[in-house]
Amino acid sequence: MSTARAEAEDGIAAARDATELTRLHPLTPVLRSWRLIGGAGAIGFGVFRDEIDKLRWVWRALHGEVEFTVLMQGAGVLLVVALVALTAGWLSWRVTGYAIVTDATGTSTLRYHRGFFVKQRRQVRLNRVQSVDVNQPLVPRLCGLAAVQLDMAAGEDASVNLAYVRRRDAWSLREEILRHTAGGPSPATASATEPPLDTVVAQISTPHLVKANLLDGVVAWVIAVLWLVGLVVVAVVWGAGALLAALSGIVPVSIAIFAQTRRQVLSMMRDANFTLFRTPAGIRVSSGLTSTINRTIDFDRIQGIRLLEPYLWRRFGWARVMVDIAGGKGDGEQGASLMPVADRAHALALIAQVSGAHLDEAPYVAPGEQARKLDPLGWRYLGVGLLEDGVVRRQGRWRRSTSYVPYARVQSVTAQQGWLQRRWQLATVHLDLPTGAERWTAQHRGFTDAAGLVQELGRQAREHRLLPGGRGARREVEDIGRTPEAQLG
Amino acid sequence: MRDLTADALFMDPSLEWSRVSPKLVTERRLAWSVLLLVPVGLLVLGGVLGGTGTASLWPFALAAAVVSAALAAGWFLVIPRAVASWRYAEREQDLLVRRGRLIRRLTVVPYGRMQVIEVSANPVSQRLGIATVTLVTASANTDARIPGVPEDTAHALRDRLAAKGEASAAGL
Repeated sequence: MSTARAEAEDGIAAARDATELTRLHPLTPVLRSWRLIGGAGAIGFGVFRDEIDKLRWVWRALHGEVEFTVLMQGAGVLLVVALVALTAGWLSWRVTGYAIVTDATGTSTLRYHRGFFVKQRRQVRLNRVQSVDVNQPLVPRLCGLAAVQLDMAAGEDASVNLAYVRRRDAWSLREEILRHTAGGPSPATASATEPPLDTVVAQISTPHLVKANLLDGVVAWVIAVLWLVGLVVVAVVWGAGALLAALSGIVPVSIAIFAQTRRQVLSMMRDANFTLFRTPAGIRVSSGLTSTINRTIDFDRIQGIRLLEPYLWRRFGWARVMVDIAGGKGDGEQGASLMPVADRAHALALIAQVSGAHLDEAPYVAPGEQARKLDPLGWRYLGVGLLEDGVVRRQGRWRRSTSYVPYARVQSVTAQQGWLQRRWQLATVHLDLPTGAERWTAQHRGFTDAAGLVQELGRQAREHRLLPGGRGARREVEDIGRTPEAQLG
Repeated sequence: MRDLTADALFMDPSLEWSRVSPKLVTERRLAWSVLLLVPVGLLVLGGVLGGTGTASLWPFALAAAVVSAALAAGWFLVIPRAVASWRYAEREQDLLVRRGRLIRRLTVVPYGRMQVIEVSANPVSQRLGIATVTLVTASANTDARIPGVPEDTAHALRDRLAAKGEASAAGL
C-alpha cells in the first residue's frame, strides 16, 4: 500500500520533472552578458591605463607599425573574458526554462527553472499575478526580442522576468497568462496579430507630451535660475569672500537641476508614444521611446489612483493620472502613468471608467478650522470625500493631488497625532496599502471628524472585503462598454 | 473635556483596553542601560588610561558620564509612562493598537487583513515571561505591534486572532 503510494508519488514527481520546459531565445546569453564584457573592457582599460599612450597603436596600426605585445595582451584578455561570460551565459541559458502547467483542480502555475550552480525552481500561481508586462529594452528590441515580466504582490523580488523571447512568443505568452489570471479560459481570441488588436482608448502625441512636461518643469527651472542669479549678484556685490559662500549654494542647486532634468527626460522617454488600450479584463498601456513597455492592468488589481495637476497645467486644464498596482517597482516615483497628460475632464472620465469613482462629484469635507495654524497655505485645499467604493483625498495649493483608494484595498487604518496637533485638536489619518502603492494620508482632520473617519474607513474596509468575488472585484467588463468612451489626445 | 474628545479617537472609553505588562518597563530599562552604560564605561576607562598621557582626558570623560547619567535617569522616568500608553483592544471585527504619548498612534487592523501573526521573545523577555505579538498585513506600513504581553496571554491572543482571521476572508 505504502510502496504503491510512494511509487505513485514518484511517478508524479517524474511527470513533473518531465514537463517540457520552453527555453528562452538563444541570443539571451549574448544580450545578458554584453554588460559583463563591457565591464571587463572597462577594467582592462584601467589595468592598461599606464600604457594608454600606446593606444596610439590604433593609429599606428593603420601605418603598419603594430606593437604586438600590447595589442595581443588587450585582445587576449578581452577574448578570455568574453568567452568566460558567454560560456557562463550559455550554461545558465541551458538550464533556464519555463512552462505553464494546469493541474487537476484547474489552477495553472508557471514553472520557472533557472540557475546552474544554485538551482532555482519557482512555481508561480497564475491567479496571483498582478500584471503582465511585455518590455523591450533598446538592444533586444533591435533584435526583435522582448521580455515578459510577471508582477507579483510580494514585490520586485517575487516577480518573474522571462528575458528574452521572440516578440511574437512574448505576446502569445502574455495572452496565455492573462487567460489564466482572468479566471477560466476565455473564448479563444487567439488572434494571430501580435500585439493583439485591442481597442485604442487614448493616444498622446509625443510633441504634446514634451510640451506639457517642459511646462511642468518650468517653475522649478525659473526658481533655480533666479537662485543662481541671486548668488552671482551676491558674489559681485559683496566680493570674493561672499563668492565662496555663494559657491556652497551653487553646488547643491546645480545637482538639484541636474537631478530634475534627468528625472524629466527619463519620464518623457518612458511616456513617449503613449497609447492606452482596452483589453477584456482591464487596460493596457504601451509607451516608450527607445525601450518600450507594455503593461496590462486588470481593473481589480488597482490599489489606488492619483490625479496630479501641477500649477501651470491647471491654467490649461491638463492633468496626469497615475495608478498604483501591488508589487510595482519601489524605485523613486511610485505607480505607473495611466495617462501622462490629458484634459481634466477626460482624465476624470478615465478614472471613472477604470475605478467607477466620479472624483469630481465627491462630497469633499474640509479639515478642521484649526488646520489653518499648521498648514496656513494649503489647509483650504485639503479635503476628504467618502464615495461608494472608495475614499478620495485632495491636497496641494499649487501642485494639486487627488488620491483615490478603493475600500477593498485598505489593509489597516492608522490615526496619528503629534503634540502640536493635540494642542489644536487635530489628527492625521492614514490608510495602509500593499507594497508598491503610495500611502494615503488625510492631514489635519478635526478630532471628531478623524474619529468618525477611522470608524467609517475601518468598517468599509471590512465590508468591502467580504463582498462576493473576494477581491472587491466590482467592475464588470461590460460596464466599460456602456460608459461613453472618452476620446483623448 | 479635552481628554474626553481625545479618548473618542485614541482610546474609545466604551471598549475594554488591555494594558501591556509592567515587566516591559524592566526590559526597556535594561536595554537602555546596556545601550548607554557600555559606551560610558568605555569612555571612563579611556579617560582613566588616557590620564597618564600628556593631555588629561579626565574632564571630558567625567562630563560625558554625567550627561549620559542624566539622560539615562530622565529616560528611566519616562519609560513607565511610555509603556503605560501602549494598549490594545479586540473588537468583533478588528484589532486596535494604541501607543505613544507625545505622538499618539492608533492602528485599526480588520481581522480579514491579517497575513501573519507573530509571537517573538528575546532572551530578556523570555526571562521576564513576556513576548511581542506582531500582526503583519500586506502593507509594510501597518504598525500593529504589541510588546510586553505576558507569555500565556500572548499565546491565547495569537490563537484567538488566528481563529478570527480564518473566519474572515484571506488573500490580497
